[in-house]
Amino acid sequence: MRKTIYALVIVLMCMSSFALADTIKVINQRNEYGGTTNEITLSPTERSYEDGVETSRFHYDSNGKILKKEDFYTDHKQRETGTANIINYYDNNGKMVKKEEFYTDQKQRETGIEISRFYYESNGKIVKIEDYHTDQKQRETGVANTTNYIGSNGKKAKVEEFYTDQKQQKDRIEASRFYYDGTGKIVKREDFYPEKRQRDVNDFRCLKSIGVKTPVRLQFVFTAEDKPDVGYVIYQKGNRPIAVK
Amino acid sequence: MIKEREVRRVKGGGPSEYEAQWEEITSGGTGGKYIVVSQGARINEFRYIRKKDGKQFKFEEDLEAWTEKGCEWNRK
Repeated sequence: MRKTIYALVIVLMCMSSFALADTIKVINQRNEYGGTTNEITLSPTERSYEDGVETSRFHYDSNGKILKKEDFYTDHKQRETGTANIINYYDNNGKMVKKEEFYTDQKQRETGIEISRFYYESNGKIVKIEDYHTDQKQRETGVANTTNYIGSNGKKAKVEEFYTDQKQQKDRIEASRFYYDGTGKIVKREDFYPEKRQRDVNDFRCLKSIGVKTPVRLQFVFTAEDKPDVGYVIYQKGNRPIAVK
Repeated sequence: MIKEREVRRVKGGGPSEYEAQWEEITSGGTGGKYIVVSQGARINEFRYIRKKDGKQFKFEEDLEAWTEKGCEWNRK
Protein backbone atom coordinates (compact mmCIF):
# COMPACT_ATOMS: atom_id res chain seq x y z
CA MET A 1 0.00 0.00 0.00
CA ARG A 2 2.79 2.37 1.05
CA LYS A 3 4.68 1.63 -2.20
CA THR A 4 1.57 2.48 -4.20
CA ILE A 5 1.20 5.81 -2.42
CA TYR A 6 4.90 6.65 -3.05
CA ALA A 7 4.50 5.79 -6.73
CA LEU A 8 1.40 7.93 -6.96
CA VAL A 9 3.15 10.90 -5.33
CA ILE A 10 6.07 10.60 -7.77
CA VAL A 11 3.71 10.45 -10.75
CA LEU A 12 1.82 13.50 -9.49
CA MET A 13 5.09 15.41 -8.98
CA CYS A 14 6.20 14.61 -12.52
CA MET A 15 2.83 15.65 -13.92
CA SER A 16 2.85 18.88 -12.00
CA SER A 17 6.40 19.83 -13.09
CA PHE A 18 5.43 19.04 -16.68
CA ALA A 19 2.42 21.31 -16.37
CA LEU A 20 4.61 24.12 -15.04
CA ALA A 21 7.23 23.86 -17.78
CA ASP A 22 7.61 26.60 -20.40
CA THR A 23 5.60 26.29 -23.55
CA ILE A 24 7.23 27.45 -26.75
CA LYS A 25 5.28 27.67 -29.95
CA VAL A 26 5.72 29.21 -33.36
CA ILE A 27 2.79 31.58 -33.78
CA ASN A 28 3.78 32.96 -37.17
CA GLN A 29 5.85 31.17 -39.80
CA ARG A 30 6.40 34.33 -41.82
CA ASN A 31 6.11 37.61 -39.94
CA GLU A 32 6.49 41.21 -41.11
CA TYR A 33 10.31 40.76 -41.12
CA GLY A 34 10.26 37.58 -43.20
CA GLY A 35 11.12 35.28 -40.30
CA THR A 36 9.24 33.42 -37.60
CA THR A 37 7.58 34.65 -34.43
CA ASN A 38 7.90 32.42 -31.40
CA GLU A 39 5.91 32.71 -28.23
CA ILE A 40 7.12 31.50 -24.88
CA THR A 41 4.77 31.26 -21.94
CA LEU A 42 6.68 30.97 -18.72
CA SER A 43 5.74 28.95 -15.72
CA PRO A 44 5.64 30.50 -12.27
CA THR A 45 8.83 28.63 -11.37
CA GLU A 46 10.89 30.27 -14.08
CA ARG A 47 13.19 33.14 -13.20
CA SER A 48 11.79 35.43 -15.92
CA TYR A 49 8.36 34.87 -14.46
CA GLU A 50 9.70 35.98 -11.11
CA ASP A 51 11.04 39.05 -12.91
CA GLY A 52 7.47 39.77 -13.91
CA VAL A 53 7.30 38.38 -17.45
CA GLU A 54 4.55 35.90 -18.15
CA THR A 55 4.69 35.63 -21.93
CA SER A 56 7.28 36.75 -24.47
CA ARG A 57 7.09 36.90 -28.23
CA PHE A 58 10.26 36.93 -30.29
CA HIS A 59 10.06 38.24 -33.86
CA TYR A 60 12.94 37.16 -36.10
CA ASP A 61 13.93 38.21 -39.59
CA SER A 62 14.73 35.73 -42.37
CA ASN A 63 18.33 35.48 -41.11
CA GLY A 64 17.24 34.57 -37.62
CA LYS A 65 18.04 37.97 -36.14
CA ILE A 66 15.68 39.20 -33.50
CA LEU A 67 14.14 42.52 -34.47
CA LYS A 68 11.24 42.75 -32.05
CA LYS A 69 10.43 41.32 -28.64
CA GLU A 70 7.17 41.64 -26.76
CA ASP A 71 6.88 41.03 -23.04
CA PHE A 72 3.55 40.63 -21.30
CA TYR A 73 3.80 41.23 -17.59
CA THR A 74 2.35 39.24 -14.73
CA ASP A 75 -0.50 40.75 -12.73
CA HIS A 76 1.88 41.41 -9.87
CA LYS A 77 4.30 43.36 -12.07
CA GLN A 78 1.44 45.22 -13.72
CA ARG A 79 0.23 46.38 -10.33
CA GLU A 80 3.77 47.28 -9.31
CA THR A 81 4.79 49.22 -12.44
CA GLY A 82 1.57 50.26 -14.11
CA THR A 83 2.82 48.72 -17.35
CA ALA A 84 0.83 45.91 -18.98
CA ASN A 85 3.24 45.01 -21.75
CA ILE A 86 6.24 46.34 -23.65
CA ILE A 87 7.64 45.96 -27.15
CA ASN A 88 11.35 46.34 -27.79
CA TYR A 89 12.66 46.99 -31.30
CA TYR A 90 16.24 46.16 -32.31
CA ASP A 91 18.49 47.17 -35.18
CA ASN A 92 20.54 44.72 -37.27
CA ASN A 93 23.31 44.82 -34.69
CA GLY A 94 20.98 43.74 -31.92
CA LYS A 95 20.86 47.15 -30.26
CA MET A 96 17.54 48.36 -28.95
CA VAL A 97 16.39 51.40 -30.89
CA LYS A 98 12.86 51.79 -29.60
CA LYS A 99 10.67 50.63 -26.74
CA GLU A 100 6.91 50.92 -26.51
CA GLU A 101 5.19 50.76 -23.14
CA PHE A 102 1.48 50.07 -22.87
CA TYR A 103 0.06 51.15 -19.56
CA THR A 104 -2.59 49.53 -17.38
CA ASP A 105 -6.04 51.13 -17.05
CA GLN A 106 -5.19 52.23 -13.54
CA LYS A 107 -1.98 53.96 -14.63
CA GLN A 108 -3.76 55.52 -17.61
CA ARG A 109 -6.30 57.05 -15.25
CA GLU A 110 -3.48 58.42 -13.08
CA THR A 111 -1.25 59.86 -15.80
CA GLY A 112 -3.53 60.32 -18.79
CA ILE A 113 -1.01 58.46 -20.96
CA GLU A 114 -1.94 55.30 -22.87
CA ILE A 115 1.31 54.50 -24.60
CA SER A 116 4.86 55.82 -24.47
CA ARG A 117 7.52 55.29 -27.08
CA PHE A 118 11.18 55.62 -26.09
CA TYR A 119 13.84 56.12 -28.76
CA TYR A 120 17.46 55.21 -28.08
CA GLU A 121 20.84 56.23 -29.47
CA SER A 122 23.44 53.59 -30.25
CA ASN A 123 25.02 54.22 -26.83
CA GLY A 124 21.74 53.29 -25.15
CA LYS A 125 20.75 56.82 -24.16
CA ILE A 126 17.15 57.89 -24.57
CA VAL A 127 16.88 60.74 -27.07
CA LYS A 128 13.15 61.04 -27.55
CA ILE A 129 9.95 60.05 -25.74
CA GLU A 130 6.53 60.18 -27.36
CA ASP A 131 3.47 60.10 -25.10
CA TYR A 132 0.03 59.32 -26.50
CA HIS A 133 -2.73 60.65 -24.32
CA THR A 134 -6.01 59.02 -23.27
CA ASP A 135 -9.30 60.33 -24.66
CA GLN A 136 -10.08 61.77 -21.25
CA LYS A 137 -6.84 63.74 -21.11
CA GLN A 138 -7.27 64.84 -24.72
CA ARG A 139 -10.67 66.26 -23.85
CA GLU A 140 -9.28 68.01 -20.78
CA THR A 141 -6.13 69.48 -22.32
CA GLY A 142 -6.68 69.51 -26.07
CA VAL A 143 -3.32 67.77 -26.49
CA ALA A 144 -3.36 64.54 -28.50
CA ASN A 145 0.27 63.59 -28.03
CA THR A 146 3.59 65.06 -26.96
CA THR A 147 7.16 64.45 -27.99
CA ASN A 148 9.97 65.09 -25.51
CA TYR A 149 13.50 65.46 -26.85
CA ILE A 150 16.17 64.62 -24.31
CA GLY A 151 19.54 66.38 -24.30
CA SER A 152 22.86 64.77 -23.40
CA ASN A 153 22.40 65.95 -19.81
CA GLY A 154 19.36 63.67 -19.55
CA LYS A 155 16.96 66.61 -19.29
CA LYS A 156 14.32 67.59 -21.81
CA ALA A 157 15.62 70.08 -24.33
CA LYS A 158 12.49 70.47 -26.41
CA VAL A 159 8.84 69.45 -26.15
CA GLU A 160 6.34 69.34 -28.98
CA GLU A 161 2.61 69.26 -28.35
CA PHE A 162 0.21 68.18 -31.06
CA TYR A 163 -3.34 69.34 -30.57
CA THR A 164 -6.64 67.54 -31.09
CA ASP A 165 -8.99 68.34 -33.96
CA GLN A 166 -11.33 70.12 -31.53
CA LYS A 167 -8.61 72.39 -30.22
CA GLN A 168 -7.36 73.06 -33.73
CA GLN A 169 -10.84 74.12 -34.78
CA LYS A 170 -11.34 76.24 -31.68
CA ASP A 171 -7.94 77.91 -31.34
CA ARG A 172 -6.67 77.57 -34.93
CA ILE A 173 -3.45 76.09 -33.64
CA GLU A 174 -1.98 72.82 -34.81
CA ALA A 175 1.08 72.26 -32.66
CA SER A 176 3.42 74.05 -30.29
CA ARG A 177 7.07 73.60 -29.63
CA PHE A 178 8.79 74.58 -26.39
CA TYR A 179 12.53 74.94 -25.97
CA TYR A 180 14.15 74.48 -22.55
CA ASP A 181 17.48 75.60 -21.15
CA GLY A 182 19.66 73.47 -18.90
CA THR A 183 17.72 74.48 -15.79
CA GLY A 184 14.39 73.34 -17.24
CA LYS A 185 13.15 76.84 -17.99
CA ILE A 186 11.26 77.47 -21.24
CA VAL A 187 13.30 79.85 -23.37
CA LYS A 188 11.28 79.82 -26.58
CA ARG A 189 7.84 78.84 -27.81
CA GLU A 190 6.76 78.32 -31.39
CA ASP A 191 3.16 77.85 -32.49
CA PHE A 192 2.15 76.29 -35.76
CA TYR A 193 -1.09 77.01 -37.54
CA PRO A 194 -3.05 74.61 -39.75
CA GLU A 195 -3.98 76.93 -42.57
CA LYS A 196 -0.79 78.76 -43.29
CA ARG A 197 1.62 76.31 -41.70
CA GLN A 198 3.69 79.43 -41.43
CA ARG A 199 7.05 79.48 -39.87
CA ASP A 200 8.48 82.28 -37.80
CA VAL A 201 10.58 84.74 -39.67
CA ASN A 202 14.10 83.40 -39.71
CA ASP A 203 13.01 80.08 -38.21
CA PHE A 204 16.16 78.03 -38.18
CA ARG A 205 17.29 74.56 -37.28
CA CYS A 206 20.69 73.28 -36.24
CA LEU A 207 21.57 70.02 -37.94
CA LYS A 208 24.41 67.54 -38.02
CA SER A 209 25.09 64.81 -40.53
CA ILE A 210 24.70 61.23 -39.41
CA GLY A 211 26.35 58.00 -40.49
CA VAL A 212 29.73 59.64 -41.07
CA LYS A 213 32.89 59.69 -38.98
CA THR A 214 33.15 63.47 -38.77
CA PRO A 215 29.71 65.06 -38.74
CA VAL A 216 29.07 68.12 -40.87
CA ARG A 217 27.09 70.77 -39.01
CA LEU A 218 24.89 73.41 -40.52
CA GLN A 219 22.23 75.94 -39.71
CA PHE A 220 19.26 75.94 -42.05
CA VAL A 221 17.27 79.18 -42.04
CA PHE A 222 13.92 78.60 -43.64
CA THR A 223 12.37 81.91 -44.44
CA ALA A 224 13.04 85.55 -44.96
CA GLU A 225 10.37 88.09 -44.02
CA ASP A 226 9.63 89.36 -47.49
CA LYS A 227 10.36 86.16 -49.40
CA PRO A 228 8.73 83.22 -47.65
CA ASP A 229 10.16 80.60 -49.97
CA VAL A 230 13.76 81.71 -49.77
CA GLY A 231 16.20 80.70 -47.09
CA TYR A 232 19.88 80.12 -46.56
CA VAL A 233 22.33 77.63 -45.13
CA ILE A 234 25.33 78.35 -42.96
CA TYR A 235 27.88 75.56 -42.63
CA GLN A 236 29.97 75.36 -39.50
CA LYS A 237 33.16 75.66 -41.51
CA GLY A 238 31.69 77.65 -44.39
CA ASN A 239 32.87 81.09 -45.47
CA ARG A 240 29.45 82.61 -46.01
CA PRO A 241 25.76 81.70 -46.11
CA ILE A 242 24.53 79.79 -49.16
CA ALA A 243 21.16 80.95 -50.43
CA VAL A 244 18.46 78.35 -51.06
CA LYS A 245 15.17 78.66 -52.81
CA MET B 1 11.58 76.30 -52.02
CA ILE B 2 11.14 74.71 -55.38
CA LYS B 3 8.61 72.04 -54.51
CA GLU B 4 6.40 71.00 -51.62
CA ARG B 5 3.93 68.15 -51.30
CA GLU B 6 1.86 66.54 -48.59
CA VAL B 7 3.21 63.06 -48.09
CA ARG B 8 1.13 61.78 -45.17
CA ARG B 9 -2.10 62.83 -43.54
CA VAL B 10 -2.26 61.93 -39.87
CA LYS B 11 -5.43 60.78 -38.14
CA GLY B 12 -6.48 62.01 -34.74
CA GLY B 13 -5.47 65.62 -34.88
CA GLY B 14 -1.77 65.43 -35.72
CA PRO B 15 -0.47 67.69 -38.46
CA SER B 16 0.18 66.29 -41.94
CA GLU B 17 3.67 65.42 -43.08
CA TYR B 18 5.14 67.56 -45.88
CA GLU B 19 8.18 67.13 -48.05
CA ALA B 20 9.85 70.31 -49.26
CA GLN B 21 12.72 70.62 -51.71
CA TRP B 22 15.13 73.51 -51.45
CA GLU B 23 17.72 74.19 -54.11
CA GLU B 24 21.09 75.82 -53.48
CA ILE B 25 21.72 78.99 -55.42
CA THR B 26 25.39 79.14 -56.28
CA SER B 27 27.52 81.37 -58.47
CA GLY B 28 27.52 78.68 -61.12
CA GLY B 29 23.73 78.42 -61.17
CA THR B 30 21.98 75.85 -59.06
CA GLY B 31 23.74 73.52 -56.67
CA GLY B 32 22.63 70.62 -54.53
CA LYS B 33 19.20 70.00 -53.09
CA TYR B 34 17.95 69.83 -49.55
CA ILE B 35 14.97 67.56 -48.86
CA VAL B 36 13.13 68.46 -45.69
CA VAL B 37 10.30 66.25 -44.43
CA SER B 38 8.43 68.00 -41.64
CA GLN B 39 5.33 67.43 -39.60
CA GLY B 40 4.20 70.56 -37.83
CA ALA B 41 7.16 71.74 -35.83
CA ARG B 42 9.00 68.48 -36.18
CA ILE B 43 11.59 67.66 -38.83
CA ASN B 44 11.30 63.95 -39.55
CA GLU B 45 13.95 63.80 -42.25
CA PHE B 46 16.62 66.11 -43.63
CA ARG B 47 18.81 65.12 -46.59
CA TYR B 48 21.29 66.89 -48.81
CA ILE B 49 21.81 65.61 -52.36
CA ARG B 50 25.13 66.70 -53.82
CA LYS B 51 24.76 67.83 -57.39
CA LYS B 52 28.03 66.54 -58.87
CA ASP B 53 27.50 62.87 -58.01
CA GLY B 54 24.02 62.62 -56.52
CA LYS B 55 25.45 61.45 -53.18
CA GLN B 56 23.04 61.84 -50.28
CA PHE B 57 23.91 63.03 -46.81
CA LYS B 58 21.47 62.50 -43.98
CA PHE B 59 21.15 64.96 -41.15
CA GLU B 60 19.43 65.05 -37.79
CA GLU B 61 18.59 67.95 -35.54
CA ASP B 62 21.41 69.04 -33.27
CA LEU B 63 19.44 70.31 -30.31
CA GLU B 64 22.47 70.99 -28.20
CA ALA B 65 23.76 73.51 -30.71
CA TRP B 66 20.54 75.50 -30.63
CA THR B 67 20.51 78.93 -28.98
CA GLU B 68 18.06 81.77 -29.42
CA LYS B 69 20.60 83.66 -31.51
CA GLY B 70 21.58 80.82 -33.78
CA CYS B 71 23.50 77.57 -33.76
CA GLU B 72 26.55 77.53 -31.54
CA TRP B 73 28.76 74.61 -32.31
CA ASN B 74 31.74 75.38 -30.15
CA ARG B 75 30.19 75.61 -26.73
CA LYS B 76 30.23 72.65 -24.41
